[in-house]
Amino acid sequence: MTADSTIRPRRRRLRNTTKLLFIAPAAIVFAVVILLPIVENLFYSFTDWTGFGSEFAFVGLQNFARLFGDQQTLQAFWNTILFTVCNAPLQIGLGLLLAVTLKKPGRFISVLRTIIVLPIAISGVVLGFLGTVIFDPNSGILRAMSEAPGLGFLAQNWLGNSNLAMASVIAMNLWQWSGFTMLIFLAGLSTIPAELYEAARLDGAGAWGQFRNITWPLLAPAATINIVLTLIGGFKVFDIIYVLTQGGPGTATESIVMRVTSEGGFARFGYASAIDFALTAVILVVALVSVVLLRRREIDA
Amino acid sequence: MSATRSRQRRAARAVDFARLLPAIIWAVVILVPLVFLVFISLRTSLAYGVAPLAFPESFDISNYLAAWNQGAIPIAFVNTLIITAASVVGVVVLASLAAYGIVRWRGRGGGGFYVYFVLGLIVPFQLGLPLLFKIFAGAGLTDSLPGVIIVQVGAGLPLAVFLYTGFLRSVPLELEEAARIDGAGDVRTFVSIVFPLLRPVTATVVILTAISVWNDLIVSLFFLSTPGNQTLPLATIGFRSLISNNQPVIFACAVITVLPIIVLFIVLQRFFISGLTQGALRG
Repeated sequence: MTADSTIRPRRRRLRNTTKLLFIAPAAIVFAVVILLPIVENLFYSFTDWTGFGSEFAFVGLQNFARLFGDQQTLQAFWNTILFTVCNAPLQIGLGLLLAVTLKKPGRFISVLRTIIVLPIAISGVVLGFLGTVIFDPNSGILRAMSEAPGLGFLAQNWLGNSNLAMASVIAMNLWQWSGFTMLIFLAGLSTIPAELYEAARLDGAGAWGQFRNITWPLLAPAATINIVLTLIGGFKVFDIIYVLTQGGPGTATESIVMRVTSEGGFARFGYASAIDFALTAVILVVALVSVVLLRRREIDA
Repeated sequence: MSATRSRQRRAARAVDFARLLPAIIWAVVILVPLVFLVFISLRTSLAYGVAPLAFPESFDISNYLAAWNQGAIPIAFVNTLIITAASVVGVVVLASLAAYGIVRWRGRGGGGFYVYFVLGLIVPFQLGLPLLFKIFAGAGLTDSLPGVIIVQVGAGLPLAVFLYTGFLRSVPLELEEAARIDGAGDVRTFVSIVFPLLRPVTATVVILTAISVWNDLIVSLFFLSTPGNQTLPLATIGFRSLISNNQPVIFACAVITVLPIIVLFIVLQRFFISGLTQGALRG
């Protein structure tokens, strides 16, 4: 690259100052909207600021110590982990199954793809309405289905029963996001040359052999993106729980982002910032570890 | 002879259908609640009370007219349209320029800027909103559409920069150099040569940004308070608390709010997979 640029006349390439001018507007907006609040959050996590007025004192690590003794916060962390750990394999498995099934182009298949991706365009508010349509114990679809012989077990208070609420939230999340995971896998599948399958078929490989030896290894980059996005999305879960259960019944489905919002609302901004910071740290570690592990797998493959 | 062949063809079709079965079942699972949402929106609240999941008695759009006329929906519709359009333009312009600068950067600086933006994919930006509100209040940007647009552009940048950068890495330098030899400046080279090449990724960025801005509740909840500034999700919630007993009218309102974004989505979706392939999987 350097040797290259010494041969060519300089004016043919962008100068670094021009590049900086290209990057600067985005960098500034990003700094103000995303970065500045995070840095401030970190700062306030060491204070007892209420969120109102301008008075506060430094309390050291007190907010973080409190976090580890606060049953409700620990429960919210547990709920978030439970959501993430149960949702990720289901979403990725379903997305992969759908992508492999709908790989070949065709009119009927593209209609199916469109239907399956459609839910990502639906807002949280409308998702809440759909939750009523599906789960309502008196007027929901599941209740109506339970009248059929053998399906009586579907008559449940899905969102109001603390044993079922999280499962219902995860099901609704799959309903909304399986199509997005499918799209990324479809994008990955489209990069695999068809000749490889032909060669495998000539060698006598069956459908499973082709999947194991061609599809799965060559799908590794798409799998990496899907796994990382699903994990990050899981730890940040908020909207879907807020519109379906508001974190209830009790605190059975309260996620960590919801917990931060309510602590902030209770005029304990410093403590809320500490929870926020802990969550960001967890996401950062999970994202970095999974990227490193998965990239290694990609190279092995 | 021809009978055997048609039997074979039918058998092949049956195998195809069996293979598609999981996808067909899942598509049905996705469609059924949406269909009932639309069904309910066409019925009277009386009929809904008697049998919640029945087929519409008649295709009556009076619930839609009621939702459009009663609520703050038309104003909210225009506000949401303005915010979404401006945010999409902002994200596309800023992110494509930035990604171009990053990819064509010689030495280490480019990678540093890349990490800087992609970090935004990780942090839950909603949690910064209370502090952002304080900062924006000082600048007089609260309860105003431009304020929300700036927040939405900032929130949309990380994914857009990630996708554009991934795509630009695979674009060869030769085209740009040819343009420069012909005397085009940096900005003109970008506008007339580079940006058109980015089209599939731009379509992807447009869809994803438009969906998240159009549907956003939390940013407008924090930043917009006067009724004249409300967005569709806010207005829908306000409308629901106003007439909580009339589910069909509220559902009609819900259909009005999702319809435009679904139409946009269906129009642009054919670029979606190629945009994701070229953006996400080359990065």
